[in-house]
Amino acid sequence: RVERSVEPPTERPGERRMAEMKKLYGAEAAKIQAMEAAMQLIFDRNCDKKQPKYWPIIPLKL
Amino acid sequence: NSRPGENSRGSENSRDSGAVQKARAELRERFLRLLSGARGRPGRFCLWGGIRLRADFGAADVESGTLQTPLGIQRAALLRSGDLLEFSFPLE
Amino acid sequence: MNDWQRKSPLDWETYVNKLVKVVAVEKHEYEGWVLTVDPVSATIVLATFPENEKGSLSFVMGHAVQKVEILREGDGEMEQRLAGILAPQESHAYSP
Repeated sequence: RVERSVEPPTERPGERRMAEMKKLYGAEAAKIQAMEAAMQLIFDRNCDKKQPKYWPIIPLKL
Repeated sequence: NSRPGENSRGSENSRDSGAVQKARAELRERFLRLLSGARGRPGRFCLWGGIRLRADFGAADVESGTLQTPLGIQRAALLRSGDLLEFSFPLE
Repeated sequence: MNDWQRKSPLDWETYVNKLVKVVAVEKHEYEGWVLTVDPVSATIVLATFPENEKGSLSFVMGHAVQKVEILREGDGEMEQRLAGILAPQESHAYSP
């Protein structure tokens, strides 16, 4: 499994993420975040269910 | 290794106007819609070095840009966005 | 990061609803109508409508894009056709 974010432990990741989203998307931030979260959920569920491995094992390009 | 699109997450964004944010949101929403509409469809994937795959599209990690797709029979695989050049699906 | 990835959302937006030719690495070329450019990855999404065939959606990864050339502007009919692809009929795909 891929561990994505590397947040400093002193910050609350959710808040920081929302601030970042606001900066990028302004008034639409919440909507975009909801769409991303929904897709991420599907991805995570699929991974739990199917336990996929990376293909190819070694990246073609670094 | 940097994730794709770190560009739009740089510190310059603090200066972004409402117009830029609006355009970015519109483009991103369209992209997420199209990507999510591709779920379960038969895709053709083109990777570096002329490698071509046919597989049903599973799901995408929109954060890290990882694509999940079944390969072969009952096997699922994760494709790295950096390995991919292009992928396509038939329209309904 | 390539020039295409460095563009601003306002630049990418100007390509929407236009017929383009995308030159990608390893001499790949793709032609189609631009539906969007993902502002995070700079991935460009093209719709193609070949005659006598089902159309297709093509996602060209931003990191692979070398050049994007505008070939033609979309007319009202094409804009509608493209809007149809984005119509929220597929919004069910978001529900888990």
